[in-house]
Amino acid sequence: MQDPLIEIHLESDREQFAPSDFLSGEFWVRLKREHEIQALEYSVIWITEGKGEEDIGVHYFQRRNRTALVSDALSQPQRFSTVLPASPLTYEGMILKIRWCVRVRIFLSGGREVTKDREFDLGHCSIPEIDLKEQDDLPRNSE
Amino acid sequence: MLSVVGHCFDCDPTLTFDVEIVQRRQTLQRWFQAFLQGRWFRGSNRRWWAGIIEAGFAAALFLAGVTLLVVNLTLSIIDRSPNDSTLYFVIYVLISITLISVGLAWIARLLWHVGVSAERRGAIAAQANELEILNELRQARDDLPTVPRDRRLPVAGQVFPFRMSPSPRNLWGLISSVLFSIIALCLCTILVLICAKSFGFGGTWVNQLEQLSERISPRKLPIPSRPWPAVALLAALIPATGWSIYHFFRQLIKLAGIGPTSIELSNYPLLPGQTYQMFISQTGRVRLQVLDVDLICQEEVTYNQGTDIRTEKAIVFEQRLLRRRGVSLESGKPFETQIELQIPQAAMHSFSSTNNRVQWKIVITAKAKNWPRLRRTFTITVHPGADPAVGKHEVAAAVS
Repeated sequence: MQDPLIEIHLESDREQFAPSDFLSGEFWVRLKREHEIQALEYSVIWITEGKGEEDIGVHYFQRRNRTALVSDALSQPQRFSTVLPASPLTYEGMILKIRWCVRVRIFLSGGREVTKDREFDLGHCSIPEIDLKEQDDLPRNSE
Repeated sequence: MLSVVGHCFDCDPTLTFDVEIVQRRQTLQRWFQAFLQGRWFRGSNRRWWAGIIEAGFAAALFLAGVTLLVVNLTLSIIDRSPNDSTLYFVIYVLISITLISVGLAWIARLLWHVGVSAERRGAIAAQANELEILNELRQARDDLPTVPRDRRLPVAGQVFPFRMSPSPRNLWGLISSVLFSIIALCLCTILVLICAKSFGFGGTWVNQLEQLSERISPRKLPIPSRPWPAVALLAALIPATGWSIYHFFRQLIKLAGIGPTSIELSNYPLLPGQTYQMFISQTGRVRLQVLDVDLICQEEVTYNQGTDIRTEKAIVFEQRLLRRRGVSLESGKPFETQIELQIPQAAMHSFSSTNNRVQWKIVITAKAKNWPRLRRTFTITVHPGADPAVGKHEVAAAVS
């Protein structure tokens, strides 16, 4: 059986956001007749990646159960919006990465789940390229 | 010696005798003051020996007191003739307690002496400003999820407003080594007594130990005539005890010779792209061959591997802020300097979640001849930049 199709769009197709920016967008869920949806969740989260265990922080979360989903509701785009927090910022480190995304998760009958992520950057931090360790005999000393 | 006193005393031998006593007392006072002030130990090598001798003597007094107390208490249990031995027991206990007290007081004085300089002066000012700093920092942290809170908030400094707190693990290292040394020494002493008794050494007190065995147990002597397990245990314990005492001395000498490090910052918490002034103060009584100050950013992750939980660390940024060679530390004259500290633009802020962490640290390392290497770490908090360049540029582009 083919999975339902989920599409997520951020307003103005923005990829980059700053802390305290207003994040808004919408998503569509394209179901087929054989799909029986049990619940729907959409959230704005940050996730760690890399060598360590994955940590997830939930900034925004909404869940709609089957009873809350009126017929034909999912044929229309579902809007979401939130004000982004000040941290953590998107980060690309050596053994640790932090990424932000809007995640939509659909729970189908039979225990199946379908998930779709739409990534974006909240600020952007990286490993600094400057390393003055080589200049160890040239202290920047103002004594 | 008496003739130098002066003509007015020549006719009165009593006065002359008094003057002699006064002179000897003054000589002793000068000698004692010179010893306490370390005048005999001027120069780097002599200062080093001063630290060694002082710390070693203090530790030796303390350990001798512990040993004497254990021996005395062990033997006193079997004493059946209280007429004479009770007096000796009290005297020995008093001597033991005195040795322990003097040793401990001396160690405490050493630690206090090397660490008194800037800490105390800043403490008074710190109390006045502490509440204000606390409130500001708490307010800032509430708005910043995943940015870790300082375990110990900075206090007001002398030169700059924020004095950072170093890791206090050195003192715990000393305490644990003291405890381990005491336990090992006590066990070793008791085993030595048992072995000496069984092999016929020790004279009177060995006989007393035999009586101790009879008193402890109604049966005849639980200690066999040749307690080889005890001997084997003693043979294993002696190196362990020696090592623990050596380690204790080493910790004590390290603390006595290289005093506390303090750093103060012109502003706090720190922000990427910003430059700050930093004041460094290092107390002690040694000559450092080299003193380094580094700014470090470290990633730390934990993960499961089988049934083990492993932690991996990676230093992703390391910047030398200062290297100074030939730093002479003297009592009351700490090494003090001011340097610039810049957090790189677009650097990651401090971050902490359940299994992942990004930490910023100022690490001070120093090396002195014949001394253990010094390493002091100050964990600092870096907040996200107020104006993350990438995000703002994209906003502008999107609007246009």
